[in-house]
Amino acid sequence: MATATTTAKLIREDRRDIVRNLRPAELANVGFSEYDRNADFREWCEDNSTSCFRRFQIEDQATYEPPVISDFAIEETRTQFTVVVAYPADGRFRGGTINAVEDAIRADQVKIDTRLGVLNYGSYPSGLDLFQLVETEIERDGDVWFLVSTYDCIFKRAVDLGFTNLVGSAAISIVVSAIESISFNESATLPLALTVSGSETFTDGGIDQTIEGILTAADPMQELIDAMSFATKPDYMWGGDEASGATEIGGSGFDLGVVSTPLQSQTSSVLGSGDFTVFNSSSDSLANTSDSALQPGSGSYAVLWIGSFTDLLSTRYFFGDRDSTGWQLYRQSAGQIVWYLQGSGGGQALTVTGHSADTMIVVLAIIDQTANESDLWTGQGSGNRAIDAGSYNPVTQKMAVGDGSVSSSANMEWGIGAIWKGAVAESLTSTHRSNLATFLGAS
Amino acid sequence: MQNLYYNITGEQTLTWDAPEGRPSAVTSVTVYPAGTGDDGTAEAATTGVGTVETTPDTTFDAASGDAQSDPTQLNLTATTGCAIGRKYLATNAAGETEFVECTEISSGDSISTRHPLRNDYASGDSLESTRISISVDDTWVADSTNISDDLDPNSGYRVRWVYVVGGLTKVHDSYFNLVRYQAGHSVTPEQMDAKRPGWLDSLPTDHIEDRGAVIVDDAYSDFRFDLHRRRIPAEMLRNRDVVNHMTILRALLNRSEDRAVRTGDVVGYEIDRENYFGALDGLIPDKTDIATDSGGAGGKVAALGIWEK
Repeated sequence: MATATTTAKLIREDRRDIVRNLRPAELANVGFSEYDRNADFREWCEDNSTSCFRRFQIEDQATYEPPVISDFAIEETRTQFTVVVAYPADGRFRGGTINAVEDAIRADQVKIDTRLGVLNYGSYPSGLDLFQLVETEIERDGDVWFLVSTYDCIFKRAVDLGFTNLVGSAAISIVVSAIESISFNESATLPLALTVSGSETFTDGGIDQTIEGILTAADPMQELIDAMSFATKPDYMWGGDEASGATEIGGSGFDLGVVSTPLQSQTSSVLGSGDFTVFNSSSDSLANTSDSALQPGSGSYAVLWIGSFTDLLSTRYFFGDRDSTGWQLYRQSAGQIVWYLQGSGGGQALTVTGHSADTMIVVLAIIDQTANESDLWTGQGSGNRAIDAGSYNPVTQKMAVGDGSVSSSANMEWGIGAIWKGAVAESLTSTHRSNLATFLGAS
Repeated sequence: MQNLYYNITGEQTLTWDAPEGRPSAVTSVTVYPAGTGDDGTAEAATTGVGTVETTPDTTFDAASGDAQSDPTQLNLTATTGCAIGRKYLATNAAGETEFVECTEISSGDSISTRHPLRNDYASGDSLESTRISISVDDTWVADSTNISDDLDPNSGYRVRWVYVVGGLTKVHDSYFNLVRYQAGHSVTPEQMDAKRPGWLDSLPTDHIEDRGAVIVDDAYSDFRFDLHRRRIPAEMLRNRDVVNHMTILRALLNRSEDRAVRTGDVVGYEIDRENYFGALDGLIPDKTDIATDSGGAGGKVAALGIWEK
């Protein structure tokens, strides 16, 4: 899943701004000012003891460790920052004693940590996961004392593979260049068959993904493209291999390529907003009201269930009407969801049983099947039936997707897609994923 | 030493900041030529009687001073009359006193001082001006024959202040010149930083807010005394660039001297010292225009051989 990233520089500057804006408890009219010279901070302070009051420096100690999480887009890494603040050890603080200097430093330390540390977690910049005080000390040496606070820092940083943001027509050359670069084949000759299909741009959380469309080419360039497949995939992975250039779910009928309105932006229980019927809770239903779930004519239909699969199994609301001539989704018996492709007495097109996953999203679609329902029905049970009438356990088995074997008629384009928020493998193409994610508002 | 401008009428005063405390009355103010004794003839340089500055003469209205989180803040009943750069006398119920330099004014609420207070103050304790003053006579100040002898670095006139503090009469002397041009420099902080990059950023914390103005003023004062050692009145120099250049070098020397005292590292000090005194010897007096009479004009002063002096 795409995640916002940041840099050590951004974190340092964010921390710097926070410290700059702090109002000290003691001698508040002397604020914190950053030391921005090239010379060593401590040496400068010791040479300018009368000038160093509340000068500070934040440094990345660059104590990087192997990342906790890493993929080709981000990695979560750990380092340490030190915040060093200088104080002249003179009599300017209340009481004029040396203890007063320490008291003032301690007061500042609390102020600083309150704003920089975990107590201010809510104000961390995006991508910063942890900024936690692990050690603080007062270095008492000579005319200048130093408050030295060490912070553990965990943040996500973007993995820089040297190519990003494949946008528009430039994407081709960028990808090719990247392919050449990564294969150390700077002198590669590009085959004429190099093509790009698909045009959707997927932006997640403000971060552009690294794919637009599917790049195909004749060998040997295709091998290079395959080698680059990680870079031509979007940043969320539901498993399965890429099938460059594959058709979309259900062919053109269930055209996710035209999805533009994220599900999360759609009104709950909206029928026919676009080509989708959306159920957002277990209380939503489509009763047998003029076969409202069946939208005749051309276009796509979908039933989506978002929420607990258990709720879906336990509800007795009908998604469609089993007695209609349209498709249906309903709870046939405990623990089963049956999708009928035909009316009463029709055969089961898909049965999902025994699912125990906490959450699932089911996307079901059938396209313009009314004109060819008999064909579909005829196909049931035969060798070219769309989906085996047997039980498909989505936990352990892939669902057939877009099996075109029944598409004997041009009007019988149909498809079934299912996405689980789990480890269930699903053979969706990257385009499907991108478009479905757009539709579902994936984050 | 105060300088009065020749022929500037209606606005000039002679002032004296009483070190003993706020005077209750000014008995007399008399001006004498520097070479005239107190029994001699006084100058008609003043008009009216001496007065005690009215404000500030206020009280603290909240705990302030050494025990507070900000010992530089004085919480006052009123800030009327307070001026940045002026020094005022704070006195608590125990009779402890200290002069403070005002560096910031929060109108009607408080003032801040350059250095932390070292005594504690409670509501009702006082903060007051100790300044007394008297107006300068317009006729006298417009008389060119009264212009001070510009060939002498010492003052042309002596003021005898007689006033009462705490029931006791105090007598003090101060000095002034009547001049055509005010002695002084016009060095800016940016000039200082241009001469020594980083100077502004390295200012002592207590001098950041006025960008080192007091430090440069003090350097000019040192330069003035260096001229005095050469029997040259500072106000006689008729070359602004030279004055500023010498002031800058003197400020750098002072800074290096301070660092040498603190760290024991005298390398920088030696360099700055050589720069300053080299420039002083090279520029003054024979290569810089100097006023040779009270008319205001300047000219070269020929260097004399040691056997000619």
